Amino acid sequence: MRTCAPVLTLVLLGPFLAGSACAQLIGTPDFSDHTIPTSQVADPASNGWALVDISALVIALGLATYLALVSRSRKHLFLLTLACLAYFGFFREGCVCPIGATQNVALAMADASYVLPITVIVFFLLPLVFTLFFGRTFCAAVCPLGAVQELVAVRHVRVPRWLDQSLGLVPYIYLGAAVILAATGTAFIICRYDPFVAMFRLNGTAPMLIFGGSLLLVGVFVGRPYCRYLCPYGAVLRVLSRFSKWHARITPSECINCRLCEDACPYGAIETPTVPLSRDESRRERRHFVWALALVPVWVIGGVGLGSQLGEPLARWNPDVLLAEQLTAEQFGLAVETTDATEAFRSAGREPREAYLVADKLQRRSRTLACWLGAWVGLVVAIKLVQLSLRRQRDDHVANRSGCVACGRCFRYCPVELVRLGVISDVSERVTEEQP
Amino acid sequence: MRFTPSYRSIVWTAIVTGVFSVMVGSCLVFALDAPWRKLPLEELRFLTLKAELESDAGNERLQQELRDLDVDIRSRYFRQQQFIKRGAYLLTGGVIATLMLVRWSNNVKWQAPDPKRLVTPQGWETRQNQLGKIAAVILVLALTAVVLVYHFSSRQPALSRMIEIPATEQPDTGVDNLQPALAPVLVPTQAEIFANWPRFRGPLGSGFAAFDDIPQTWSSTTGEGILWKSPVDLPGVSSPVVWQKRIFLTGASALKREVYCFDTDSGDLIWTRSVAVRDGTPAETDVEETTGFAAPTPATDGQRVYAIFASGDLVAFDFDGNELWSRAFGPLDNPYGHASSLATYRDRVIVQLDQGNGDDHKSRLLALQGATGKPVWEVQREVPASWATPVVIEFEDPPRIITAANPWVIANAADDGRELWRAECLSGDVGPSPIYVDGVVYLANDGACVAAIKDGGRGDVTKSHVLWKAEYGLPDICSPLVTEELLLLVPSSGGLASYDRQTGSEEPLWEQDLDVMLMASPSLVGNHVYLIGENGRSWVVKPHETGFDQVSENDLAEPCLSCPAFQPGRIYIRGKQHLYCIGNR
Repeated sequence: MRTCAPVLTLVLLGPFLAGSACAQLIGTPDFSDHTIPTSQVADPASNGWALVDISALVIALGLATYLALVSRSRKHLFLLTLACLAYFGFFREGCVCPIGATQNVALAMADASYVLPITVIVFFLLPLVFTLFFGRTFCAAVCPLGAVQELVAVRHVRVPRWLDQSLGLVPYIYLGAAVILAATGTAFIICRYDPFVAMFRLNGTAPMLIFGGSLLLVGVFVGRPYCRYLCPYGAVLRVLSRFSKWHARITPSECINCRLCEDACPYGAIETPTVPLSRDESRRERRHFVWALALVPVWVIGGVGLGSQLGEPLARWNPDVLLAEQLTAEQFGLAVETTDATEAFRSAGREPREAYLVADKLQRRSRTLACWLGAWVGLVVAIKLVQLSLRRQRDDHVANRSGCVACGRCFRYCPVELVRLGVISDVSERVTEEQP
Repeated sequence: MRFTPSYRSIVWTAIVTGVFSVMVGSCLVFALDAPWRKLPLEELRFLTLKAELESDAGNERLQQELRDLDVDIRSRYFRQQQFIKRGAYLLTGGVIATLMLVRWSNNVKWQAPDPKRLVTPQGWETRQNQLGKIAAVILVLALTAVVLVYHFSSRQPALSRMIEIPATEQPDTGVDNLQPALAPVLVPTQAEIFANWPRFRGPLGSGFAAFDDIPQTWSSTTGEGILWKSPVDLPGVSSPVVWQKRIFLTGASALKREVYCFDTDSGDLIWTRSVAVRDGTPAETDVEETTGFAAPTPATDGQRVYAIFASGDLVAFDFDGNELWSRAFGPLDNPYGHASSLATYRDRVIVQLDQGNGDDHKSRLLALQGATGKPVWEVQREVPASWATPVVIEFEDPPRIITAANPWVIANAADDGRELWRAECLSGDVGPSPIYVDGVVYLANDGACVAAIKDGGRGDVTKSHVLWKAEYGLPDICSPLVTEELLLLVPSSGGLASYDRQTGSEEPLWEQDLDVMLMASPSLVGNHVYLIGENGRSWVVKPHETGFDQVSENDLAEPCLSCPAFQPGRIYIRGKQHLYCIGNR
């Protein structure tokens, strides 16, 4: 199997290289009688496809939930993963997806004139509702981004818990930035930096292709790196899943603490029983917890301070601000050449002052929102530190409710499950007496 | 371990599909890099034909050839696109098949783990949580560093500061209300600066004029070469500065200060503005007679003109003569009278206010906002009064301001005033200004030395960056001038002295007398040096390794202590009573 890794490395890059071929435009003929066609506005997407998409999502979520929680069939979950990858990924080309829909919702909440399609609302809300009741069954088999990573996760390496915990902060920060940038109409960065959409569409820019290819290569060894350390929608699902009413379990009934499943999860989501602490250790833990709690406001205020420095750079992501800057630079001879945007602006008979006005409003709004973003980052870090100081007593091997994606990989490790399936008649066939 | 035949067959199939995928991938990589993937408009043959047709528009054979080639290239291009697309599908299928087979083989050989190897050590979770906290904090610190670097780096480029919109509340509607509050800050480009004469001794303060057709002969007695001359009401030794069609000049007496704006074409006085005495400024200022009350040369950034007087009054006017702001720095503790000229950096005005004895913390260097006069930064200088003018080097990174005073030559960052380096070279009363040429700072001062200092380094660079020093032919007022090979000095005894600018030497290469004292620093146009004596006689000379050849001798018929200003085809010289325009057109 190890010899397959280099092969995988090569073959995984292939589609991306191929995809870059299609991202070019060529001019119309100069010296022929060819009539240049007038630009056509694409027809709006039909409601029929919207209904099909929503139906597919509902069915896929329902099936995933049933397979993860009731029938506990890893095999069928995997087949569903392939089907969802084929439909939501390659056939529907990764759009609409709940991850990107987060930005549409953020923009709609900030801008009343922005119309939110029903498909987007459903795609954003439905996985949240399912997660609140059944855990991350959307991640298990429905999400095409998760599916493509699930497919390549063949040789997992355990990420140290401390690293896993700290990198787990990134999706929340990414979520905050994405919401702020979307709400200001600046950019939909989740879509812009979607690592796998280029593969789904067999098309994309070189940076996108390299980013996606690299993530898949990492994903061969580190399970679902995008889901765990980047996905902003996953960050929301993690929180909701923590409070879910039902959740996928390692064992169908009672854990016998055989420890066979300890290394089963490539996503580091299996929690082992805790060891009782001495009195001194308990006191120290409590002290750390109190300190972490007391420092929450400090982190938030520090975050606001950091965010206050971000207003101007954040505003410069906005094309309208860049346009105003470019117009000014051209006006005073600081820019050697004009850009398509400034040419178009002038051709429309508009005055640069209009652009300054828009840039001014955006800059002022960015300053405020950047402080909110800073506060959010501070809060996220503070909560993480509190969480790491909080010790929960566990007697069994359990799936971490926020980290578990309900993929079902751990099922077959559990002797109790094997007994349920009739593979073995008694757990003693798998658990020797030497084991605890 | 003995694998079942089914496992072997799966692995072999996976290898076959993997190899197939690699082969398809290789073909695609080759196809992506192939020369025939060039876009039709980039084909050399196509471009050549197109160029030929442009020079021979009616050639039907060329037109037909071009049409055929166009169709051929496009057909090939789209065939290739189709090839790549099919290849991409094949490759995707191959990759998926390989992955599925790999997973299948994993399943076939799967065995339950041996838990004995998975013992969790005591206290593992506590340690991991502690490490997790540290890692989270490090992550946040790294993020903070990135944010700060991004923030400050995005502030540096010129474009990022182009739109400086005041924090005052602006109405959301009403575009007409935007001006001037939303007007962008105007910063002169380097090209604009070098096309004008915006400060003492020109764009870099080096006395170098990169203009053509500069006259070499003139005479105010015969009127030869004099395009116009205009009277200047108040005396002063400040030099003219020029921006496009306007010449700015200052004049002052003990009780009166004025700023003048002349028209370059006619010499007409466009406006005169009196500068009022500010509160706290004594009615009279003690100055040495030669220095006078208007020794500092004004400076302009193309939008505003800034002037300072011996009284310490600094004032800014727009080009229409409207006073924008003023600041009173006086009274200045200066035994001869304040003479350091102003300089500008982007939209800021730079003021070198050296005064006192060096121990009384009176000396400072300031950068003020050109639009408002509010200080951007200010640094204290532990130096006594000096009369030199700062040099602003905008194109270095970071942009820097170089100043000279007893005993330090100091480089400060132009953006925030922080000190970059300093070298100890000077002593006594420092009048000549430093110049900066090709990364080397040259300066000279009577009673100290002439020195060449390599720009760069940090802290005290006296021992590491002083390239050479010498002690003869030193000036007390005139600033140095550099030609392609020589460093020229106007010694306090008069005449002209020369050193090899690269290597220096113990004594000057040569020293020639001119029989008259010079107060105006020399200027360089091409390989000709312009020298103006205090009696108004002037010379254009061509220096070389053994001396100089006189090209012309001219007269102004009135004393002159100011440096000339240049524009293409013109020289502006301030005499004791008149402003002269010398030119060929």
